[in-house]
Amino acid sequence: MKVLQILNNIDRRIIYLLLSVVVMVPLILESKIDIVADPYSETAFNEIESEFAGELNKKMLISFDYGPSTSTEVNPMAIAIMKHVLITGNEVHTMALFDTGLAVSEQAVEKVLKDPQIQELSFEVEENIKQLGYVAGGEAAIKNMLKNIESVFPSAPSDIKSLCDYDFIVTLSSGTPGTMEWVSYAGDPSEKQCKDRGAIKLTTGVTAVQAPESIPFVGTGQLKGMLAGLSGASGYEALMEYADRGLASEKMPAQSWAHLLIIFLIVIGNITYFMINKRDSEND
Amino acid sequence: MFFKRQMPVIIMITIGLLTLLSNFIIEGKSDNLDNVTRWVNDDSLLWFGIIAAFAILLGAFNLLKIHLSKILRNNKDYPYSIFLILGFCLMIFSGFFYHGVDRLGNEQYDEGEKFIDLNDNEKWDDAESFTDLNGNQKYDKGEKFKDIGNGKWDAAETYEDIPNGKYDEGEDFIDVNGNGSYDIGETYKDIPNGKWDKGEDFIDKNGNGSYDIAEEYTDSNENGKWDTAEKYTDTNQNDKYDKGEKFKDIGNGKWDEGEDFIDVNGNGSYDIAEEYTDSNENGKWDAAEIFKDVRNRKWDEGEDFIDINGNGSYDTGETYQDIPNGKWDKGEDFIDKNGNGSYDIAEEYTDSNENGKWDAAEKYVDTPNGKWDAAEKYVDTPNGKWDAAEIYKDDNWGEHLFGKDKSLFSKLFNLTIDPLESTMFALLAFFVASASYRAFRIRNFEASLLLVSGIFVMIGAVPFGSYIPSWVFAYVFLSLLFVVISPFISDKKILWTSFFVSFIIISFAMTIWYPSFLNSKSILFWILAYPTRAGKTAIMIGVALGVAATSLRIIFGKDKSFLGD
Repeated sequence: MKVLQILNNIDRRIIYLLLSVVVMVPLILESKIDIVADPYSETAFNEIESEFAGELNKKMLISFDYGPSTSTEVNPMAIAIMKHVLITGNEVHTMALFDTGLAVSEQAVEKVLKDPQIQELSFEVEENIKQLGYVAGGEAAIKNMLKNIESVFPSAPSDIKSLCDYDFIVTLSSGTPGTMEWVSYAGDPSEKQCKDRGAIKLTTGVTAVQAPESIPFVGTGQLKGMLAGLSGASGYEALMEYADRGLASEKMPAQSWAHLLIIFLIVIGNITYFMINKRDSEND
Repeated sequence: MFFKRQMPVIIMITIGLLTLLSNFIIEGKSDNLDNVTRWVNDDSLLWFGIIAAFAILLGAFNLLKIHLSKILRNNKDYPYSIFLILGFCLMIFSGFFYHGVDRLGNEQYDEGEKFIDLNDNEKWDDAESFTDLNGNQKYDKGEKFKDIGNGKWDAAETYEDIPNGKYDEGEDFIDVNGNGSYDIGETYKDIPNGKWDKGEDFIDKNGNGSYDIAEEYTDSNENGKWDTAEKYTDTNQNDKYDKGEKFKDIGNGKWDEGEDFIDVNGNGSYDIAEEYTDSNENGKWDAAEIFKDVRNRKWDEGEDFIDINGNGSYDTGETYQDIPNGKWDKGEDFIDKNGNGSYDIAEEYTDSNENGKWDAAEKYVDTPNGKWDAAEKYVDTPNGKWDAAEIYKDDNWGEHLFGKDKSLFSKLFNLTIDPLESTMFALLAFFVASASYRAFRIRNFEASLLLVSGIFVMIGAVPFGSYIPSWVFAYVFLSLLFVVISPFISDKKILWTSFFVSFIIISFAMTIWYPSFLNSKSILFWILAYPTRAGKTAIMIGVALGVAATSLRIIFGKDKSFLGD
């Protein structure tokens, strides 16, 4: 019976220790796991593929709306998407609505440029990356960019007059301003604002906990798919056919084991809870 | 008091009403009304940006005020405040003062300022001292230079410009096709180089049959190089055939280099498609088969040209008539029939860009291998790349916050802020694990529902979930169904019997129809696409209505919470 009590109330330090072990061991052993892309990642990938593959002079804007705290989860998405577009020979422009987003965007760009697949390309990839910078103001900044990008980013390339000149926008978000603001102030109004070309295609990459907030927009088509957490990023890497060496994919075994541990603890906790309750009721 | 209480309310009500009403203005009905819309959509948004930036400044000063007062009053834990203030000052210093400014204000590169390193030698080259001996302001390949450390010539390194009789990188030329680089056929200024070039006569002093540095030679036709069909004297007596010597056709039906031929165009060398004698009578000629010919804008063997120096062969720079040459040239488009990624004789091609070659940095359409291959389609744009001197860019203020160079600011970010924030967020995983274990208990129906869906989501979100076979989920759902209905069946015997009968029926049914749709991913995405989406949409609608109600309360002065009330 004492065992039941212990299992029903495991000391938190033991849980921390167990979690540390199941996270660290797969990372140290560099274990691999088969990744299957989820439908939302697949939609995002297919939309980007159809927009950029075999095309030239197309431009994607990636907004880094997150900071270092969530960069482990979101940076792999940024890298995978940037790689995808740059390999096709098209341009990627970056910006940030988070003050620390500017620095994480720089980290992502640096990693992309060092990627062996990118270095194999026979043209100057760096010339296809333009960094616009950080802007304060969230919603107001997005709204202004839809009308006149120069009023927000004076250093924007001369061929970009407004958000309408982008063929695709990706918001990588972990809070506010983020996905919802881009949908409300760029994606939706662009249908009216960008008269010649219609609505701008918009997709998002979010942390796993934020995914439910973006789900309604994916269902209505306001977002072209979504990358949800590390799992979504690894799915995108799998579709890019570099899951074996992708930043997200290499972390998935650790995350898988962590999930299994938590499920195991929940099941153990409930069994012991049920047994103790039954015993107590019998005693009563 | 007026400015603290009434003024903000007046501003809020006025701006709020204008913003609200601007949504009801139809564009083009009235200039005045259009001006209101324009003000709301354009000017007020810019104000918002300014206010947002100002708020950051205000926040910074507020932070300083709070923590300085803590230090001055020796409040509890004031050493943390000292640490915070020091960190704040360090970031301000590295961000605003230490790096990223044209410190001397002289609009030119000074040591320590950022530059664009075009040749990747990680240093700025234009600042290197040099003496331009020939006065063309450029370095030419082969010229002497003073290497200041990286083993290759960098723009502006000291060099000696000397003539060599052929085009060298860096020499002046007329860029006909505007691609920014010299192409064969373009006019250039030839300058003697004072050294032996391949083909020039020489005295073979050591009898090894080839020119060695320091051996004497005579440039007989004074064009600066030796040409294939020129008469020569076998002065080195090496007992082997050199180009131009008489030969006897060995009977393979085509001219081979060195065999006698009828020189139709008098250029002293054999050209493809010229008449030939099929001496071996095999009924076919290989090099002149039927083809679709195109112009490639460069001289090809066989094309007419004006032999300026009278040496009997075409030299780069001589005028020529570009005629279809009947063969594929590098850069021309072609249909890769066998998919080997390169042009093979007989594959169809089109000379689309007409400059005859692809330049690095030009965009192209990649056909499967991820890089440009000769003859793949590309858009020939001026490559805008600069060949000689690097462009130095004097730092714009703030550029050090991002860029290749590692400024103090970026180091502080990468070495302190990044790991600290990541660590804080990572700790959350440990708390979540512990909290899940304690909170997810089957206490009531709602808690049970949350627990079950939580487990399904956790399984579906990781690749391990895909290893669980569908039959497991079938039995799990059956069990859950009986858990739900069990309170309504008082007779436990009936309950267990029903459960086992259902279990057997499902087991039998799965041998006929396997429920492959029951997998971790599909269950996860059903949960996300239906219950989650429905719940989230309902919450969003509620929030939107709440925002509308609160906005109206603020506009009409009912809610003054923004004043701190």
